[in-house]
Amino acid sequence: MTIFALRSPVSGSAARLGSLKIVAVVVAVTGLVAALLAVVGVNPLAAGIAMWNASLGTPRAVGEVLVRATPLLLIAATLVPSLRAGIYNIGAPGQLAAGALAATLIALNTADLPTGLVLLFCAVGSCVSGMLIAFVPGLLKARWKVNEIISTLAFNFIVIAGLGYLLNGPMQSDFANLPQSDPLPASSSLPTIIPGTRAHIGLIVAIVAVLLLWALQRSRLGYRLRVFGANPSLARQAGVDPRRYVVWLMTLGGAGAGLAGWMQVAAVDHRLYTSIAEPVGYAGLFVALLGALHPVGIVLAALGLGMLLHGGESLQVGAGVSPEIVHVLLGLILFAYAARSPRGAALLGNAKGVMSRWSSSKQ
Amino acid sequence: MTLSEMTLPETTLPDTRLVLSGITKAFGSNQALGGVAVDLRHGEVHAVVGENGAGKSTLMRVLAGHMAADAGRMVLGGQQTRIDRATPGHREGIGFVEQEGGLVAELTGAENLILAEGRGFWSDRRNAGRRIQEVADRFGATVDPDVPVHALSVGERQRLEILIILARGADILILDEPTAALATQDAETLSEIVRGFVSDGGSVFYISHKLHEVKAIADRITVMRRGVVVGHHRSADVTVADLAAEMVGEIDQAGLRRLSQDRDPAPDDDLIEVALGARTQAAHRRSSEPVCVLHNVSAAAPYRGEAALEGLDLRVHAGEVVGVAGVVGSGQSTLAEVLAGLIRPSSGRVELPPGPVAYVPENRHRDAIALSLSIRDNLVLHSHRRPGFRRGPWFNRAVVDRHATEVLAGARVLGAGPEQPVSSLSGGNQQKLVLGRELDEGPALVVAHNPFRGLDVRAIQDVREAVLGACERGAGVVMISPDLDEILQLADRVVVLFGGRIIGEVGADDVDSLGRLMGGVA
Ligand SMILES: Nc1ncnc2c1ncn2[C@@H]1O[C@H](COP(=O)(O)OP(=O)(O)OP(=O)(O)O)[C@@H](O)[C@H]1O
Ligand SMILES: [Mg+2]
Repeated sequence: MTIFALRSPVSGSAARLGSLKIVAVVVAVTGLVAALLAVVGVNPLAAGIAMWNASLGTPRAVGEVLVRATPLLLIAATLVPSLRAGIYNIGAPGQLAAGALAATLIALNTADLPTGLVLLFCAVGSCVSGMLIAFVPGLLKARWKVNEIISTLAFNFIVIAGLGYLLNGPMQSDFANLPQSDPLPASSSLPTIIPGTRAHIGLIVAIVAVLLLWALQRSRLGYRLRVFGANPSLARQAGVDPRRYVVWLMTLGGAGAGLAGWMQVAAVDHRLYTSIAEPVGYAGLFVALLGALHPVGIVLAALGLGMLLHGGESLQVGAGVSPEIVHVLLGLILFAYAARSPRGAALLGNAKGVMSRWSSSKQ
Repeated sequence: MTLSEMTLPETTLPDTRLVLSGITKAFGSNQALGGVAVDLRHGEVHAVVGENGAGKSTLMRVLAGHMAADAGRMVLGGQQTRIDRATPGHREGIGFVEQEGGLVAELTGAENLILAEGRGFWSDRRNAGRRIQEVADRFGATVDPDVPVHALSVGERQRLEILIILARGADILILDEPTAALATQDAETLSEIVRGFVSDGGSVFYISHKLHEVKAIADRITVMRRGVVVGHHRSADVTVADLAAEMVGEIDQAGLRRLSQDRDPAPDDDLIEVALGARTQAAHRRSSEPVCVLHNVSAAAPYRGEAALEGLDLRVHAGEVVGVAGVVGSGQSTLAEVLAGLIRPSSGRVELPPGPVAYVPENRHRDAIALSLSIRDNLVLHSHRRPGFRRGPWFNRAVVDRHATEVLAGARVLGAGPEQPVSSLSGGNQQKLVLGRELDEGPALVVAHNPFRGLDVRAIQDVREAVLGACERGAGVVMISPDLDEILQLADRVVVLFGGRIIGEVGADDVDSLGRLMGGVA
């Protein structure tokens, strides 16, 4: 691009400017949220302290943060390879719900088997169903160039609607007239790894996924993925079949989301609700983006988001604030993230140009 | 040529439009510009020549405000202008057609103009096309501002891009290797636009490796080498051989001295010969063994504005260079991609060699390198499968980097390590990297589409030697180029492509019938 090329900053002063911008954004977001709290009559400082205590005050609280962070991390780790290749699988909610559904069905029907086997079946079942849900949009994209954003979004609606039907009908619990399943048997619960908390073995799965993601960088497969993401035409010359890669990358994201569904239902909710994917599904994508598609970044982002989610739930108790304030905060962070991208920068740059023209024409 | 003979920039002249002095710019430890001074007058074409990586594009990026200089002064239209900062958008009055120029392919010319002006909501949408048309009329160029750019040929795109920049309003035009991908005909149209612009009082910085062309179009010529100005001439006072020698510099001191004594290039001086466009006499022998056969092949074109292949027959033998000539868009890209195994033909028979096929595509940034990746990642595209490069599932960095450094050195890409992003290489060095990578595989077939694009004199010589070397080792070479001279300098025989079919074949010395065939007269 010649005339209007977006130039990436190269010099040291530009890098300084970059970190300055980050600080400015953090200050702005914090300020906005504080102002919002003040408007609804809450002391922002008290709310902040309440949230901090709730998320890091006790070992149990830390465990809760880890429980929130685990599925986010797993989804993010499996989404990163496809995002790096510019494939936007936003179907994690649907894939997660499918995984949770499979785990629930398996757990409810294998109550007599030993725990080890139940866990294995649940894990495999949820993973495979998540993969299946992601496979179809992947195939559609590879074969007919169907936009994956639209098809995965459509699948979210379909799966959640299907879940609603099942939970209001065949799978509805006998004890309450609510859209929820029977409670899962104890044999299907995930073993905890830190005594006195609810942190479960899913965390280990997520960490393994992150380590694999890290190892991918230096592997042959990782190299091909990198080339594929950077220039599909070139990847073809390196013997990469772009269509196969599209399908596999989509399916990989489905695997992570499916497993996350299993963890949610078997370790946290112990019943299947229609709201199973909220807010974990989209938040996983959010973590991947916020973590700059980097293994370390997504770990930090997942922990941060885990803190916010858990802290938000405690705000109600601690400061009498509705937990939705956390969603406002998330929205603001996402907005700031979007503005940080080159396109956003171009918009800002343009605005500056218009302003200067305007002011000079006024003289 | 001694320093005292050079005309130094005269800042006091009344017709001086722009003066740059003491411009320095370093990328890490790589001093890309070390105190460069040039000036530009009203109504002149000022050419800047120099080897790949000499700093020509960097200098122009500083001038256009795309990049900040570390130090130096710029006086534009009598006013001191800051260059220690990049300007957002573009610097007023300066139009820059970059080396890897391009427009947004999905948009029309008019839409590209609107986008370039960046006024968004306030832009003058309705008149954009008309404004481009007006500029075109002024310079007697033909253009269609209302078709999507991807439907245009390379030459048309280039022209459109320049016209858009002029329509936006520029009195300094920077053309960075504008003819590197153009056919002779399009290059002539371009030079007419340049002349028209200059006679209207505009000024042009003109960068090119084609020294004949430079001499024909420029009023003054500045020669750069490794970030400094080493020569400054009035175009009329200098020969192509002088320029070539000066560009190459100390490596060729002997030749330089010889040249300054008598103006005739010594016959054994390869580089100078390349600059003068001499033909390389191939010492190899063609065998009767075909390495690649296309029989009655039809294949769909990879993009619009390009002809599909319709029943094409071609046979390439081991040890020969087959030149493919023809008007741009006659099916050259389709043919290249079929030979590279990237397009599957819809009918016909393709016999490719079992060994690797070296492919040097026409569009470097689209098909040959991944701009966002490192030099290492770009270099091991094919070789990353080699067993020696791996330790278990992982790469053996040490071995890979040794190999990368070797290929870089072999391709004479200076001052760059494997870790650097490939985008930090100069245009010519990127091309050298591609050629080095492809020829490194010991190919049985070499498909080179406009391989000399953006290469300096010495690199062209290196590539020729590498190609002929591959020939000697039994490879067949297909060389496609819009520049007939380039083909004639290397090919053993020339086939002419027209409308997706080969309509004739001539020996490399029969230029007359070649011209007729290219026009479609069989
Ligand atoms: N963004 C960058 N980062 C690091 N190094 C760079 C960058 N841009 C240019 N360079 C280096 O600066 C030097 C000059 O590059 P430049 O592109 O100006 O060369 P050039 O004279 O235009 O060559 P060519 O004829 O090949 O286009 C080269 O060594 C190049 O590697
Ligand atoms: Mg250049």
